[in-house]
Amino acid sequence: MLLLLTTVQQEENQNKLEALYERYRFDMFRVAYSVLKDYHLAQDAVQSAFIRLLNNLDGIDQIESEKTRAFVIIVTRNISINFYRKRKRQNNVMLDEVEDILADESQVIDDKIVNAELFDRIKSKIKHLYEPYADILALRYFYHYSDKEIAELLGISHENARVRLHRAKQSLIREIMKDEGWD
Amino acid sequence: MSSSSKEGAKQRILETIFEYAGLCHVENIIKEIEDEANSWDEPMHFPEELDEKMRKIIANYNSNYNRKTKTRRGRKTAKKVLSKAAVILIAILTATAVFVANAEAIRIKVLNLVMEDVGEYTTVDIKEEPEASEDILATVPPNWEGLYAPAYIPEGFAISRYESYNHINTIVYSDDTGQMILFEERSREISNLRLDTEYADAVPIKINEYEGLLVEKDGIVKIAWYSDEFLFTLSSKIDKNELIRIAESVELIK
Repeated sequence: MLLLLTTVQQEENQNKLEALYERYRFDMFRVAYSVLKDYHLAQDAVQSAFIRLLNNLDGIDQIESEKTRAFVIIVTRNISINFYRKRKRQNNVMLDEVEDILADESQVIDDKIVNAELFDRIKSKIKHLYEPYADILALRYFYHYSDKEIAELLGISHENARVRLHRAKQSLIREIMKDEGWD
Repeated sequence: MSSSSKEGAKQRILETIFEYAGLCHVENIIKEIEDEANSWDEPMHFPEELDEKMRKIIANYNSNYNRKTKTRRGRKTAKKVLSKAAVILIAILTATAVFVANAEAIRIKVLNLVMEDVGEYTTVDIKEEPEASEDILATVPPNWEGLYAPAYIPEGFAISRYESYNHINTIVYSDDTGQMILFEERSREISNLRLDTEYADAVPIKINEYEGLLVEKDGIVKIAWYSDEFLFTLSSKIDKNELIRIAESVELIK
């Protein structure tokens, strides 16, 4: 019985994987290539990203949904960035510098950020937020992954995920409050 | 209002803000990818060598990744365990488990096998065999010749499922109240079985002339014993004396 049950489940997962691949392979490659600008490296990134998705198959409810599509793109993009960082250490320094700058600025959460304009402001600011920050916010608060799960998905350490999330929150709040009359 | 509840409320507002930001980000991603796709003059070429690798990964999914996904799935679905499936859980536990049986003695392995680890299986739809026809015996599935089955089953129970797969032969009996009894036989040559005896009452038992073990845990009774050729297990929530009686009635179907 066990074998039958597991076989049924395996077949379902394999079908899900095939459907996921068929539906999003072009998106994945396009995203990886746009980050890496390298045909071969983009292939490696897609493969690596797909394995992350494969290990997280239960987190994907529906193949054909915008939520899933964005999730696939977020994972692929972040894995591609990892590849990019590994390949070019100088760029790695640049990205780290961005994070350090943000880390140095403490942000006080204030009542005044909550008003009628808030949601328009969020919508506008998230668009210009450093993408890995926007990605990790979405993974944490929209997809409801834990820090540890995010670390596994994005191929970064648990500590790195935690710090990045903290900085992402700070950065977004700071951006929301930055315009006139808010800070 | 206390300062802690005010802080809590602020925290919830912030989380809502971040959730909304995440949603907006997802919408932006979709829009961007659509815009980008439309901006390409020619249909995108997907590398053939990558396609080949990816299809291999998918084809090898079962063998390479099954264990990992089972573990993850188990954690996520453990909370969904239904009480009615408890017997199935234990059955699966016993089916997966390893009973190290050698010619000299039964060696009991005390394991940290916990129900959570197999909770995933309760969410899997069980592929049922066709309904047993009315003319078959209440205790023996059709085409069961050469295999073993209990000759005695308590009143009210009848075969609800049976399966013979990869040298593992399983019969599930159930009654109108949802109670189940699971019987399983497997060849000793392929069988290793571990029984979860942690925090359980486990006592040696003789089923006919064969050595075995009776384990009671969480209201579920499990009996495992072996003959010269086969390893047998019985699991149920019914009275243990009834289960022993069933075990003692197991016989070769000719």
